Amino acid sequence: MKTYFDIAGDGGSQIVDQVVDIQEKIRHKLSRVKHRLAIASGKGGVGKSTLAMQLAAALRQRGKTVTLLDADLNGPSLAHMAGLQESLFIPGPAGLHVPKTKDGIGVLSLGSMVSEDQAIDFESVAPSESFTWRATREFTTFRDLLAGTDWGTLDYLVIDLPPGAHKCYEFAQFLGSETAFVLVTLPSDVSQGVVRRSVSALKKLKNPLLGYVENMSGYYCADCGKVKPLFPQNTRMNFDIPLLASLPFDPRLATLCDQGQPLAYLFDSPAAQAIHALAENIEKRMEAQP
Amino acid sequence: MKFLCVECNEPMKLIKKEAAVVPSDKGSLTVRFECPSCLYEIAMLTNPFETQLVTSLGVRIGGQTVEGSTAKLEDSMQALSGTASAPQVSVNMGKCPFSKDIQKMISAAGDAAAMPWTSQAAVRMEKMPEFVRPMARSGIEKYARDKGFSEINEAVLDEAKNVFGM
Repeated sequence: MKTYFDIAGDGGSQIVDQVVDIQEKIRHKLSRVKHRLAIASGKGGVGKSTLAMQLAAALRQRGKTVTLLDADLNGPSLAHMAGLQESLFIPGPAGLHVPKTKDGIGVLSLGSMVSEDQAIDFESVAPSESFTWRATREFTTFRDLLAGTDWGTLDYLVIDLPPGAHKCYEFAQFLGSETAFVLVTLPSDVSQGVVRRSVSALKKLKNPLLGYVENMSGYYCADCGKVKPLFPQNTRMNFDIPLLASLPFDPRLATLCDQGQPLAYLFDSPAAQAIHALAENIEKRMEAQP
Repeated sequence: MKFLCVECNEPMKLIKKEAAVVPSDKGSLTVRFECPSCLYEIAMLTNPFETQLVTSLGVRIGGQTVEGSTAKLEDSMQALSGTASAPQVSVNMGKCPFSKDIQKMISAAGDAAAMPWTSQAAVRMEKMPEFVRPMARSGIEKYARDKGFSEINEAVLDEAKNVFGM
């Protein structure tokens, strides 16, 4: 009697072929994207989305074509930060057009589609069991977004990942080894501990790990013009990857983010200068990738 | 998963009939196969968990999604000739994780009668991620109505693209 592997195909639906087709479609759609960069952490609330937005703005100012992809389907925030909450999703000849800010930064975030007063509910035909399938549904949705969008020709696709150390690993596998990673941490022991786990997870894969950013490394006081400590002076843990930048917290950042404007345009602030230095640093490291 | 006709030692094939894949409103799925040699038929019956597994993968059983929404779209695309009605994208489709929210928003926005779409515009819509189509359709039609257009064509889509800064 024949066994499973003696039989070609699956009787008509060609499920494996469908999955391969979608993967090929994604490869084709991303073929004109020069660099893919994921901003991740493992820890929530460390400023990944804010950093992604600021970094994109700084790269744009350096003359690069940049699109931001909000991979946090459950808590999308980039549409708000980019001032694109009221944007319309419009089909073009080669897929979904990516909405752009007035400065020309593409931002694809489900926050443009689902208003902030709506909880995102992944439906399930298995009653009360949506949690069982949620991760699969999330990746299927993300995959459809990658395959159905016209990404065009880009220097950088910056992908803002959701929190969770496991998400770093899952997205690294999903996005493939062409996607480089930058991790974000706060100076606190708790945050550094979680990020260490993410470093450890990512080192098992082939994705380039460019380094990490220490966010909120201090507080910028506009009155005295100095950066003061924001967290207790903890020992910096050894992540065994390069420290790319230490970014001080600037209160103007919160205001600008709410207004959908990047801080990177304020050249006089230490935070903005640090972001520009980070962009330059990342650019050099990405260009040096084989 | 594959099925083998033990008698003939032949893999069974999905039957080429309209009712090859039938979803139930209780989350079950009936998929009919037949042996190409002896034509013996069997039906695979899934429980809601198994149906959900397939739905979650976003693949098509027998060329259609479990809910049949994509097949509806494909049927409508085939019927298009010059001008067509709006793409028949169900907001209740299983591939859309946000369908309930989108349904609410569309209802809240006062979903007027669907506008006609030209075949070229409808083809563009088909290239978008399936789960964003209902919201996109609603927004584009509202834009077109506000601007006094009587149909959605590529020029309307391009104009909307420019208006929204893309």
